[in-house]
Amino acid sequence: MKQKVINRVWLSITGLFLLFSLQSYSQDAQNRVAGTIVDAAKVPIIGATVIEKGTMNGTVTDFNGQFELELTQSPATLQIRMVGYSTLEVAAEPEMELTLKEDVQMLDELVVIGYGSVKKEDLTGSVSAIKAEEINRGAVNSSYELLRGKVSGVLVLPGGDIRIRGTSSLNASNDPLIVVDGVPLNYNGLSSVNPDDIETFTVLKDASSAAIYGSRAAGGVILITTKKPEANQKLKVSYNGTFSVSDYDGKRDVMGADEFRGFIRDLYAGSPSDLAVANSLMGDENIDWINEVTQLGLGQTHNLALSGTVFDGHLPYRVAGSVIHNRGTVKDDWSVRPNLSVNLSPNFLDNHLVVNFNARINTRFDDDGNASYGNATNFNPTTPIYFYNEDGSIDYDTNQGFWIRSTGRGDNLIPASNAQTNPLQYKRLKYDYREDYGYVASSAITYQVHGFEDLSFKLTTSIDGTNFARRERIRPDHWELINDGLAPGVGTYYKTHGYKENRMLESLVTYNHDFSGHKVNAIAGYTWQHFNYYDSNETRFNDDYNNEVSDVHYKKDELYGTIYKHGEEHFLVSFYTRLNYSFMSKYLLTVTLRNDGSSRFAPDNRWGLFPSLALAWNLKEESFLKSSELFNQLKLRAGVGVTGQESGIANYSYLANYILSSSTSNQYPMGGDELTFWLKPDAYDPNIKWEETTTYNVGLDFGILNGTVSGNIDAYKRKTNDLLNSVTIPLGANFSNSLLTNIGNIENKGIEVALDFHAIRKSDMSLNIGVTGTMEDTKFTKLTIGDDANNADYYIPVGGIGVGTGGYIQQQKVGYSPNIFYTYQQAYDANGEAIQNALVDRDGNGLIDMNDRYLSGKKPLPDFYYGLNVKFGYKNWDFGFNGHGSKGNWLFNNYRRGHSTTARTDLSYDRLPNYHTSVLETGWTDTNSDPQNYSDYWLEDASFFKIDDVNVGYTFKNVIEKQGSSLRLAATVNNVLTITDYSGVDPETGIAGNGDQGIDGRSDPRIRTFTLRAMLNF
Amino acid sequence: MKKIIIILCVMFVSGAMNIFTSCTDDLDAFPYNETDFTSENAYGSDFENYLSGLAKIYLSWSNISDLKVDDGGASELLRAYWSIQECSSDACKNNWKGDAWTQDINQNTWSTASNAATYAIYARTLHGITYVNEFLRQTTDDRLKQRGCSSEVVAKVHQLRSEARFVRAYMYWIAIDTFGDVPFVTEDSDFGAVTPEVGTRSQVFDYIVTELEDITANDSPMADAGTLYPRADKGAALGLLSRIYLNAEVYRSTVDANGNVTAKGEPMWQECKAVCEKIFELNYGLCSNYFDLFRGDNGENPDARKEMLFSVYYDKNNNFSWGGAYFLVAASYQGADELKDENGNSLYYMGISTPWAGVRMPYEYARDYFGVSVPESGYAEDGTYTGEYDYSDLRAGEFYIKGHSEVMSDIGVFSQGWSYYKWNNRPHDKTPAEYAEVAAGNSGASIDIPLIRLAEIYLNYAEACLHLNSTGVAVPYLNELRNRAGLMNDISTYDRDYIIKERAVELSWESLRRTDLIRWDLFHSSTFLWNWKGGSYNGQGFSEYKLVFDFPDTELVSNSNLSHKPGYN
Repeated sequence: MKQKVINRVWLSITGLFLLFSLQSYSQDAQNRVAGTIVDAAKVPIIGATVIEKGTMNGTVTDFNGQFELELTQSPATLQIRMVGYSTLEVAAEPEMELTLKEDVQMLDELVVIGYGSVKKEDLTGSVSAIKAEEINRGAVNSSYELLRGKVSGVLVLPGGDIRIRGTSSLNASNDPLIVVDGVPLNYNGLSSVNPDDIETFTVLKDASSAAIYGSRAAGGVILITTKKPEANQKLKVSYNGTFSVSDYDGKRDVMGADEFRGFIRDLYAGSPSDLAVANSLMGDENIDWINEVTQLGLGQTHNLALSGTVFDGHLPYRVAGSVIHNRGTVKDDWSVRPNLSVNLSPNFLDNHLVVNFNARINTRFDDDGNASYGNATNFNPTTPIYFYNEDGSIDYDTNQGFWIRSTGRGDNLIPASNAQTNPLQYKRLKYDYREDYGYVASSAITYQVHGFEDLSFKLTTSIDGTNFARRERIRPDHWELINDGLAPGVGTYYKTHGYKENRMLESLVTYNHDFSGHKVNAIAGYTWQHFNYYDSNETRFNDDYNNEVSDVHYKKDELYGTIYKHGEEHFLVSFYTRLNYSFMSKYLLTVTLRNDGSSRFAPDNRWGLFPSLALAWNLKEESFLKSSELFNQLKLRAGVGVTGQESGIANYSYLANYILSSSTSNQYPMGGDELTFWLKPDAYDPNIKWEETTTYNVGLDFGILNGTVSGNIDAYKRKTNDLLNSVTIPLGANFSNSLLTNIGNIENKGIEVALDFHAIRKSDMSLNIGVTGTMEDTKFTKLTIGDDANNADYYIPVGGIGVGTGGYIQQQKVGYSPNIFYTYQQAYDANGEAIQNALVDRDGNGLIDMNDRYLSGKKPLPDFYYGLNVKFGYKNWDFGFNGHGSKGNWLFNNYRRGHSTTARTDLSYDRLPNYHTSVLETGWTDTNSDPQNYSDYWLEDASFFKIDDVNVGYTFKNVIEKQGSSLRLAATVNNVLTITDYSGVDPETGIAGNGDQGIDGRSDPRIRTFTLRAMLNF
Repeated sequence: MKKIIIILCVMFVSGAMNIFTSCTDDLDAFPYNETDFTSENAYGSDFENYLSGLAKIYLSWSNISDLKVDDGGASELLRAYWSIQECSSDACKNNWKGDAWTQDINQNTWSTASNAATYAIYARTLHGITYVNEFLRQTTDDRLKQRGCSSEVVAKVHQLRSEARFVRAYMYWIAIDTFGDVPFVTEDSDFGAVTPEVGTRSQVFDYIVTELEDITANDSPMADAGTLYPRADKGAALGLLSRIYLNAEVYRSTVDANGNVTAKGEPMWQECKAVCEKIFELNYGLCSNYFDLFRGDNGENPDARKEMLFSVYYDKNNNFSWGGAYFLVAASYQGADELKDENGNSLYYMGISTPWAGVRMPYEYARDYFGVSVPESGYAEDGTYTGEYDYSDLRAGEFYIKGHSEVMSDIGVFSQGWSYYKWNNRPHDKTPAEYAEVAAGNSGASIDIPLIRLAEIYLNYAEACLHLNSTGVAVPYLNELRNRAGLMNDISTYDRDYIIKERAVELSWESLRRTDLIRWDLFHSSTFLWNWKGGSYNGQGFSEYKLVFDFPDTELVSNSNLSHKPGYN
């Protein structure tokens, strides 16, 4: 009986236990979860945060990537967060194995650097990488526009020139080196790349990252990767089309016909004889010439890309084609740009041998009509457009119908000397057509050694070139030819054509090794490049315009036909090596060394060594920050490096270039029956050498609050030695008074900041605000002509404004920014109005002479420039705008100067051009004196802020029966708004270009474009 | 599989190695187009190329294509030098007030500021000198042999080198005459972006003398006189030497910090006399008709040619420019003065199509030196001339005064003063009517400009002999000049005033006047006056420092070895 009881108790206890345990088990199933978090490579992720959604309840994964968590809710959702990975949300289950996807925007993103790529967290230099897809792109047709305002330290000029960290070179190039898929572009600019083909931009800003490109990297480097097909990808099709309308954002303010007639009569009222002449030059018409020469611009673009794989996934391909058609805003101006790109990346031998083949063809056909806007602003508004027959029809037999001041009709037309060209006729009687055929092809074979996978070899060959042709024909009845003294019926034919081509051969060895916290990546490479340039042009005088010009129609007069041919080549040979080393991903080191040899220089100056060193400290990896909630990224960087500049220097410039003249005025009787043409050397500098820029850079990368705010701050100093400039040299030393030579040193210092706010990050709403800003100061530190900033004689004159004798408006001078303005000081009356030809006698000697000019401290380079990008998404809507601006840059308004007075010699020249209404503002009637022309009155603050584009779009998802398909419709306005005090058409004119920087002679307003876009992906 | 891998490895490595070894040779790249030259291949072994090189050097006077200046024509060496030599003196005034500098030159009021004429002279002379230096560097015997020149070519190039050195000596003469001390560079100087050293006036003078003496030596490869027209020969070099010796006192003088002459230099009258006598032994002779020397066909006319020791070639089609012969003709007359035929059509008397109306002679100069006089009937009621004037010297036969007036109260009015048609593009054997049709289409002139001619040597000789008190030997030469001018009453002796007067007439408007006046201490003097001298209508003396011009502004900036001339600050 007792046993029974014991058994019963045991059973009951066991049962109870069982019951309990069952109960507790079922309780666990509801309240407790466990799991393992791994990455895509099945490697456990340590330290990932696991949170029960909507609660404070959470834990972190251990060294095996495992976690356990008691839940407070049922059912529950888990949020798993890890720096560098996308946040994952899953319904809680008792046992889970979860894979976190790497967040491409985050740290582990691979960033393309020169000759390889590194993880973003392992970067040591000042490198900005942006994905073309993710930036607010507006409606751009040119790749450079994608970059505008997006990267701190990068200034994208209106014409497409790019300045990375300002200007450090005067005459050599400031252009960055553009490398597309490892191929440096030489003869195809960034604009040759279809923006739709671009996957990422990487901007190497400091020398420690750019030095691997040595002698061509002083202007920085922009690396571009194009879209590549993915292995095993199914066919993907994307179409992107736009339609746009464009018009000027303003109009040059010239006098209307009635206003002009009245003005002229008042102007010459005091002189009956002049008035009579003026009246004879005015007609009864009321022509708005600007309206006559302009039209609404129309543009359309179509891009179609197909990608996928064939041969069992062994041959991924991508093929993309595009056509851009543009009708310009000036009559007869149009261009067509068809492009095609192909990418093939087959792999063999278990992915150990990968071939990457890229080819792009970009063509451009262009009939340029820009010449006549300026003409239209000046043309007499009272004269007719056409010659008319008595019956009122246009008299096409006289100058093709286009009116000009003349006597006689038909073949007897005699244009008045100095007659103005009819703005319409200029285009119609002249045919000017350009064709460019650009091509880039490269093939890279990479072989990863079997059994020693750390080592790989890569052999790249590439070709990059352009064939170009331009044809210009002037009809035989064009009056300019008649004026030139040619027999009637003889037209001119001018043709230039040629090619530019670069061939590259490159071999690269890469070694990668990871062992217990040490990561080594080393490369060594060799590049050989051959640059070849050829052009030929011919001028012919043809007696039969309508027939295709051939040798048969060679020319009527032997004397006038000329053919000129020219070819040159250039070699660049480079050896380079780099070591990237990282310890525990905390301490990073990069060392590079490049040795470049260029055929552009004399043997003694031919080789240049370009070293760099960079260190970085990943503070986030340190124990004291590792678990910081505030920082999800914090890295300190410091680097120094040397880069060079051989671009912008002519070939053979260390040798005298000899020219055998063919001009009849360049011959002399040296005996014999024929005269002898001269043979003469051009000026040259036998000791010319490259510019070398040393850059010091300190930077901080940070991410706060899980990336809500991220950005970087960099401070840099660049010193360019042996600066090249075209300078006036003492006579007696060379064959010209002007020579390109190494003149001194320049230094620029700056601080640049890039910030990215993810202000709203919700599943159906997002707001991103990107801000970039760069503060910069550039100064000459040395000039070979003399270093003493106080010595008024030590300067290099620059900046011709096209008037006066040997005139220039700027100086290069030690202690000052490049192209510092050097002007007279304007005198003003009591009302603050400028008095014409009254300048301040600054030295008080009673004369206005050169000694009264002064350095105003004003300069074309901005003190500060910035960009602002806003991107807002709500459900399927997106909205955004891009803006940029600058502060502290000045412009010499040469256009205003040229239209500031009514004094002209029109009457004696038998012409009466229109006036700009600006002459009413000045009220000036005398000829501007030389000092007046060089007055600070024309200097204007050209600080500005521009809204480059505003766009709005809507995306339809799964528009067709296919997952992932989408259609986006968008509308964009470009050149929306400019806020500035500057009175010219565009405060950004010549902001930091080479040459005429800071001098604004632009007559035509900027163009505003409205675009509709459709993007279809499936 | 393994094989493929090995092959791949070998391919990569050997590919790379191959390139390593051959690549660096590529860096010796030269232009590959057959018409693109560098100094490495421009000359080669062909003599014609060396002639082309020398052609550039001869074009130093007239060519304007290779300097960055505003107005090519105004910056031509001959025009610029002519302007400062004639317009700064009593012989000529330029009425182009629009060019500010012309007034400064007209009135001796120039200052430190650059003017287009002195800049042009500075630039063109130094430029020419630089080309000569390069030519000499490129034509050393070693260089010629490296290029595989035959010994025959080498010998012929020696002659070209002497000609180049003559041109350089001439350029240096213009430079020291205009500026005094000047940058001094030879074929041995540094080249490139360097700052040339300055040579003193007497240093450069000595150099010119040495060079000219060397190339005129008996064993010099320079061609014999009269054999190479218009290229330079021994006659040209001797002629320049004679001019240089004549002015030795000036060029070797010393000046103080204010630009005042403290001591004249050692004269070289004896050397001058000797070199003139050497020239007399050569095959030169006076042209029978004075004005034929300045006509469009003078280079083709043997009679004119025999008087010319050295000329600059011009042609209306070839070697045309706006600043040489064309300037001299076009600037000398105005449209209103064009002669017309009975139908009222222009006869194009000057042999070109378009007048510029720029330079004319003050009445007083014509009167005092040319001995012209205007009869009472020569004056119209309004005081202008009717065109009639009296003269006995044939050299006064080419004035045009109809409608002009005597008093030059306004330099800017062309018709105040006497038009002087010395330079005339019409061939000597053509009447205006015969040539009118061609002339109407001539927008260029073909006069070769004689820079050194026998008459100047005669006068140099006479002046040297006067200083040496041996006037007797020179009298026949002076009479020869008189007789050609239709003055048949021979002289038996002469004095300084005679020389001054004779040079004023015979060498009028031939770029020598300022130099002559300076040599005679008359240029800045307050006792020898002419209208507008020194900036005042009645004339006044001016500071002695203006005997030379200041360096151009731009050069003072770019050449740190230069400083303002003494007196200019």
